[in-house]
Amino acid sequence: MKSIIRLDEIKENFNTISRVVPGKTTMPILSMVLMKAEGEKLSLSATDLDISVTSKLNGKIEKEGAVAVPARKVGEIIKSLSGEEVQFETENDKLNIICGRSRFEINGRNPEDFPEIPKQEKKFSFKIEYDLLHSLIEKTIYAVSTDLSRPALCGVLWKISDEGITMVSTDGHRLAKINLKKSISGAESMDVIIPPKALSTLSHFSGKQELVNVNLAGNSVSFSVEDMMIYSRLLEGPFPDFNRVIPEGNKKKLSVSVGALSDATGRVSILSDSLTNLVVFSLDKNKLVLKVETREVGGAREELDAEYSQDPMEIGYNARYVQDILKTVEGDSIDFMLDRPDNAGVAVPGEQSEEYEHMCIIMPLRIN
Amino acid sequence: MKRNIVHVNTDDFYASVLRMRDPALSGRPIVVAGPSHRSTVQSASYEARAEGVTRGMIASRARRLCPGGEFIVPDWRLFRRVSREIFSMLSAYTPLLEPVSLDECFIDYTGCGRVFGNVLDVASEIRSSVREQTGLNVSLGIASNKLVSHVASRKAKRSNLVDVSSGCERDFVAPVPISRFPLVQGSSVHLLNDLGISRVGDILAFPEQVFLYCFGRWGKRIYRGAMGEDPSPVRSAGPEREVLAAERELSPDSVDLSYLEAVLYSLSEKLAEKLRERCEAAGEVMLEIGYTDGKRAAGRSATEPVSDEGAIFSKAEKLLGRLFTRRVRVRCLRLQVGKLSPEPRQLSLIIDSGLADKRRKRRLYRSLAGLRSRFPPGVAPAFGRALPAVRGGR
Repeated sequence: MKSIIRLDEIKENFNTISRVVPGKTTMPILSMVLMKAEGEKLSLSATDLDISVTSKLNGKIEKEGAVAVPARKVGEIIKSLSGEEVQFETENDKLNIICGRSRFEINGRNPEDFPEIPKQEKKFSFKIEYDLLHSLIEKTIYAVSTDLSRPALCGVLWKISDEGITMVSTDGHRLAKINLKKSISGAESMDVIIPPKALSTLSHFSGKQELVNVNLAGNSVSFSVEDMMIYSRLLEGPFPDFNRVIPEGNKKKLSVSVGALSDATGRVSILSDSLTNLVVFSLDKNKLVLKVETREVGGAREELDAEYSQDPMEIGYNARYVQDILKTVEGDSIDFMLDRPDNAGVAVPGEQSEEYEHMCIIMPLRIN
Repeated sequence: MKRNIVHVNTDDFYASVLRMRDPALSGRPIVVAGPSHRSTVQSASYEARAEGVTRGMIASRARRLCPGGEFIVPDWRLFRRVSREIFSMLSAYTPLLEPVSLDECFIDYTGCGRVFGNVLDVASEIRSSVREQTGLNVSLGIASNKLVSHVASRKAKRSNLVDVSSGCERDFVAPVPISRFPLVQGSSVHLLNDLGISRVGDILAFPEQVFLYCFGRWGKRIYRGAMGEDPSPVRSAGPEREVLAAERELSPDSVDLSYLEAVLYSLSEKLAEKLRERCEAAGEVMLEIGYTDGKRAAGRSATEPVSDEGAIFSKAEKLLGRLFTRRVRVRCLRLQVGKLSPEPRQLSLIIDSGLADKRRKRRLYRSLAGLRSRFPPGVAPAFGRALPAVRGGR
């Protein structure tokens, strides 16, 4: 193999690809990236056996061939290089990287040892704008559970129908829900649970892309964008019925500025308990007071202007959960629909987007 | 390096502490036992022992043997406080302190001589400072290992000090009666007596291989012990682990499993109530069964943090099934919960039916606990399985 690639292009792509490489693995080959020069393109592939990514780069291919190289070392080398172009050349499973006056020689492995990147059958596919999908992923991925004892919650549910897509994630303490109002022609009604790693890899892609092709078949999903393809196995369900936890009788409305609440929460939570991150929301007529009191450290209090016209109430929240929600809310204000201090609260943006409805549910912390 | 192990034993600990609390008890025989006539003797003073009362004896028999004795219910909080006081004084000399019980501990003084001086001087200092500060007498045994220092402190009774020189351990333990040897207890004494072994030195008349073959690892340990050897290190205790306990003496003693389960349920209720009060959950459940013949069986089981009676009982019930293997009447049940942690304050979304059940049960248990606090037993509603325990035994 001998190929010459633009350095800035391979830097971006290699970084995205490396995200899939598992940190610790019992199969050393999985810590490698497969480099394959074919036709006029150099393809980079990585896999953890559940998720595979392949990215194709334009370049000058002088000799076709392939080699599997250690992802971390090669990634570090590429990141440290400066110049316009970089040359990759193989010699008996050894990769030479030449850039300007720098030259590296890395021991690789036989490309045949690298697991085969699955080719997905086409069953049902649709296209979606990359920016829109990126925004939806950011609004749901934070609430995914990390509790492996409930595998269905370790992914984002996509409920697809011809009327649109509902995306839901929950870790049992909070829930994020997006209702995308986009007609998808020919869509069968289906529920799929997509691992967050596949979605975060997609959202970190930094090319100049416009449309993403989403292809669903059997127990897998693939996202194709420009010359990159992410393939992932789906998580097995069933995903719990999220509709039953969406409170409907919450009548106490609190409207507050997103920026002011985010800044104030960040400030007072410096002194919050490191285990619970408890911040008490004390509500009074058109006033929100954030309070933190930790026996060992001290206390903090910050008053904010807010729209609230119900009876005074105190409710405790994990500051991190509040911050996560505020990061995903678009617009200047956020509305909290509340009930009792031990009931779920609903958070919605002050103004909903025309393309989708966004809603978050957050469970409180016991104050006493 | 030559090891310096000191075994510290407080003389007549329980009686002495009670005498400090009530000087009128001075010189009188004291028996520490539960309030029931069927409870067992936890400790007896030297005076009571002289009249034949021993630890583990049924209280009614102890009363017959020692009619003039003072029978006092144990005040564990007081005993623990005094014990902590003594141990904290000892820990000023070395960080390696291994508590054996409330009144006994080993300290490893190896290498501390340059800081505090000769071990004999320090031992005398310990003896006098404990007496000055707590009013209690301690006996100390000094040797190159734990086993011999333990034998030495037994010889040092009362308020004495015995130092076994290095190299003399074997000769020191040889004349000790086998029944007074720390490694030999209970039926093992008769077993060794049957082999013609009445003193520790007699063990060495046999080849070591015979002991290893007949008694396995324990045989090897007592053989080495008879040679005055004990390589076990002094292990300092970790941070004190708090446990909550509930105990019930059955009336009458019983072998009826359903009755034992009912008692266990009522103990679970008590512990759950304590946990609720403290807003804590337990990660371990421990059960101890006391049989009428004085034998006990104990076991423990780890669990995900639990705080309600249902979850505690379900673990305790499994433990009971595992431990209650003898056809002997049970005299008492002691249930404990440990590995306490603050109950999670984060509320959860009820995303599956299991969680909804848990929350419903939690509400039910809280309501029942509220009713139990307002109404007397037998009037407040209780689960069917708890009724035999509420109505009394059979």
